[in-house]
Amino acid sequence: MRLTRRAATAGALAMLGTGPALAQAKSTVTVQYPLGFIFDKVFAELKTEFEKANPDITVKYLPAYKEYEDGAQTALRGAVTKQLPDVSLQAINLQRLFVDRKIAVDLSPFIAKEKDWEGQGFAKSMMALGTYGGKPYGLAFAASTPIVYINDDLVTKAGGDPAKFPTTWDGIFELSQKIAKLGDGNIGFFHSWAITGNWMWQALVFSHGGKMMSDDEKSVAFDQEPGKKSIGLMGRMVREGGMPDLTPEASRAAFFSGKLGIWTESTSLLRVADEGVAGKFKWRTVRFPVPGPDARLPTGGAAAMMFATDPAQQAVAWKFMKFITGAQGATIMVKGTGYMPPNALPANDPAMLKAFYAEKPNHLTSLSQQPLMTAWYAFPGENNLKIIQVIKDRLQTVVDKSAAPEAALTAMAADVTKLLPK
Amino acid sequence: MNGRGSVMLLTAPALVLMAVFLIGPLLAVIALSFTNYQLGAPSLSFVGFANYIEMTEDETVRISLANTLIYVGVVVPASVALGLGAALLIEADPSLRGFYRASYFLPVMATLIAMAIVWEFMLDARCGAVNMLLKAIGLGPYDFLHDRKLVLFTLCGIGVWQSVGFNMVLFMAGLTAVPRELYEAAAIDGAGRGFERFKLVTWPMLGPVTLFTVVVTAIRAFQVFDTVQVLTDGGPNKASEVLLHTIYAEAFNFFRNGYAAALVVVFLLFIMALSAVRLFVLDRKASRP
Repeated sequence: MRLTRRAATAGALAMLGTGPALAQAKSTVTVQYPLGFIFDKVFAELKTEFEKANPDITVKYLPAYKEYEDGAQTALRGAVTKQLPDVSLQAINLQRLFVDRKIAVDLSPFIAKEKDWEGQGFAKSMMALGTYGGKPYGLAFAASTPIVYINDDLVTKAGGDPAKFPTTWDGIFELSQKIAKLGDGNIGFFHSWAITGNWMWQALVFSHGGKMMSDDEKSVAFDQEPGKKSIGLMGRMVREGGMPDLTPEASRAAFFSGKLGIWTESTSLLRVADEGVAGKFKWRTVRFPVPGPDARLPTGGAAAMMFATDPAQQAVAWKFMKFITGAQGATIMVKGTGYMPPNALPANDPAMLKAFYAEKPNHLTSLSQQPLMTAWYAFPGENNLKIIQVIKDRLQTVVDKSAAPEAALTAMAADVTKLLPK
Repeated sequence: MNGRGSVMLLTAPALVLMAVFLIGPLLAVIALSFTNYQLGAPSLSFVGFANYIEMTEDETVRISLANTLIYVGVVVPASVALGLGAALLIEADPSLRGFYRASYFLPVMATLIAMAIVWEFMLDARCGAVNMLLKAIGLGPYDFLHDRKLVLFTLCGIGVWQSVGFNMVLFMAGLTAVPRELYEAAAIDGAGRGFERFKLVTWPMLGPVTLFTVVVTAIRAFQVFDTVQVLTDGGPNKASEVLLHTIYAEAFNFFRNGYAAALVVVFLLFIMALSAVRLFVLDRKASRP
């Protein structure tokens, strides 16, 4: 009804000879993104800038997904009830779910219409993060690796030197014990093992030179030597590192209040940490320890996928996706989070991010790990989300000491094997 | 139209509705439980008893079944006993009767999801009302919703709080049905007051009501879901995982609807067993001369 009236008005205006700009109806793009505590501010700014550049489009955000897994679950449910946003930001390793179920739209026709796609910063390495079966479905929006956050004050007090921070787990555990001995409720070390269920587990296994699955994706490979070392390491984190069984929220609160000395986390939390610490103490970030030969680290982060089905809506969605993953969007995103820009342009452009990086050395830690970056592994088959959950459940038993590390690994491998496609 | 015809005609609307809304979906669930159907997936295939076999090896299901049984085992006796106690006390004295009835019944009428959020504030480890009270008498603080050993019993407490009022109303109805003469006869026999009178008259006369209350409370307790979903999400580390929440997670978080359907079938067996107890025991009692 409203549409008809609007069309009628537009027609009347056109007859009166008013300009086409006035006659054009304003369109809306609906967008949903995860991790509100990291992304809310960034997306508010992206909306402002995008609407400034495209006055005929309004951006509407649906309530943020809590986490990546929850985001995928919400969107898959939305697909059944036909309540999908036009653009959805999904974890890089969960895009496959939407490709397999034919929910995500193939982006190649849109890219084909673009002039000099690679020249806009959409390099091959970036596009690879969202390509499945040779077709692009996702535009990588933010990329991350795990890094180590350290509280300079606590480390110094415990007799360590933040500038010569240990690069091995042995060194970290030794220092952690000294920090815990300071008393006053200080925690030496916390490893954010629970991040998106299995990302940190992949980080440990990859950093020991291992992999999640065999090359033919038929059988589990994380229970081999590198995996055994990784689960043993988690056992040592609890035993020797004195790592308590905290929720992610509690570990963040502990670091921000200056009670946690050494904290492994994603680089994505840099802005949140900046605000949380708020200058109460000195802190810095260092590289994630990589003990193994042929060590790698998984690329975390999110990609924008198109779920809109109506061609007019798709055109609007494409404009928004291109904007947030393009050079200008990436600059806003990097400055407002701790992620790295998948887009190739801004990092070396003085007008965009070059100056920012010069001022913010903490943001360079993850960039310096770029040579180690490899794909964030997505488990095959339809039980992908459940596999992530069982891995998380088994890791929990190591952290709460209810299972021996080796037994937990055996059980984890058995659980995952059961859920693989037969 | 003969008698049989009009019986058919008159019951038809009810039968059709039952077929569409009860029997049909039930059969669909049973059929789904033998498939690998995933929500939104374009196809499904028959997998026989695979879902049921998987269930026997699934540790989450084992934990969630055990937790559900513990929950029922705590909530049923506690809320039935407290409901009976409240009914006896309120009926014993006419002053403020309406007020007590209303206030005990309030939790039953309140939306449990909204109340769960209120409980979340009250049970907060740092600034919740419950911990403030405990602190005043030198206890705590306890993290009721995140402590693995406490969380299930915290939920039991909320469950009891929620069902006492309902049970109280059932017992009150039962009490009004106890003939006055029996109390008078008991008084003549020397059991005029207190526990003697309760043992001799009230309790035996409340037998059927008690059984009904126990079964209804047990069925409701088996269905615990809202508090778990809002307050703990089954955590920490499955310490408060219950059957209905597991079913929900399998179906709507992991989209394994075939497996979830198999869990629903098992869940229904429990509920049906409880209903059968009510049916057989109560009917037998009723038909006794």
